[in-house]
Amino acid sequence: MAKEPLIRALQGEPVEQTPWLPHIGTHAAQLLDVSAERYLQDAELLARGAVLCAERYRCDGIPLLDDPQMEAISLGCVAHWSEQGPPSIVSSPLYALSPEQVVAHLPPLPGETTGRWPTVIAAGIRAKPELERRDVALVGIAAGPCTIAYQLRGMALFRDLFRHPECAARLFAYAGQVSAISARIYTEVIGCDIIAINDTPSTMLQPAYFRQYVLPNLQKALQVIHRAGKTSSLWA
Amino acid sequence: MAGSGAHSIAFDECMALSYVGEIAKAHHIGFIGNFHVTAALFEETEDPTADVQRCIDEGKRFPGYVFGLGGPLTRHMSISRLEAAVAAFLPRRGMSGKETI
Repeated sequence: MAKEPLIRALQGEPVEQTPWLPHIGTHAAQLLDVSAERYLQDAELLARGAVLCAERYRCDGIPLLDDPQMEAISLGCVAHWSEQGPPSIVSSPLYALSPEQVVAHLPPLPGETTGRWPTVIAAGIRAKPELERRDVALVGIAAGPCTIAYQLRGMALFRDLFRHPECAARLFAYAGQVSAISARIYTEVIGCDIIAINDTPSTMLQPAYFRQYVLPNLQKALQVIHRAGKTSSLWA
Repeated sequence: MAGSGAHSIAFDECMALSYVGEIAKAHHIGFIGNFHVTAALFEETEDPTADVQRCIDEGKRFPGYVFGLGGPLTRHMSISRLEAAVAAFLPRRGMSGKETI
């Protein structure tokens, strides 16, 4: 287990031994023999799970929480919880609105006391020294702008991109702000070494849309991470 | 993605690791990937050791390579297969790739 070579490799440098960083999902819940629903909402289990996985699989870095729906739930989306995996979003305050109504109904921006953030922060504060002692990097995973926009708007997001690009642009800009808030909490409050922005739904966009809607709205989160001297990663 | 400004990228198991390595090298960024989680861990149709070797052979040819999973572990699976992958990876992590670029 070695944090420094992992960070250097993630910055594009050659290192002697290939580092190892797993996209761990909810695997720790299986190891701890609890449901994913319980695991993802319990600070003590999250912290224990991160340390357990890091030790068992001798990782150089380990995610604290790997749940792409966390931000959306903190914005008022309704989740369907699962026994083994992360929850799914089943409804959102923006699903049934017309495109023209979306901007006026964007939820208040989240903060450290919103949704599951207090749990995640408590988990990070517990896990961080344990991982540091083992020379393992703590990884925060923030939802990316397309993930947040998609969870808030559902499939209508893709219709808006074609028919109401101005509304879509405002929603993406809002989602970029949410993503940057997550990056700030992982960076400054929890003290993660690496912050990944997970934006898998952005791979559904054609390159021109990715450049127009996603790239500019990633920049705030990346600035937060880099200004703090931390390492960034974009996961898709 | 590589030109986004992020220090590194991670991508799913559908992408060719060596192709992503070329792009990452051109952008001077790191890259993480992409052990075949679906075939090796969920469906159990692929040998974990062989896929670890593929990752090392293709990834280690480029600077900034980090071994990782090609997708999140989002359901129960055979823990022994993941342990076998890690057991195969650890002694190989210091080896060079098939060809260093």
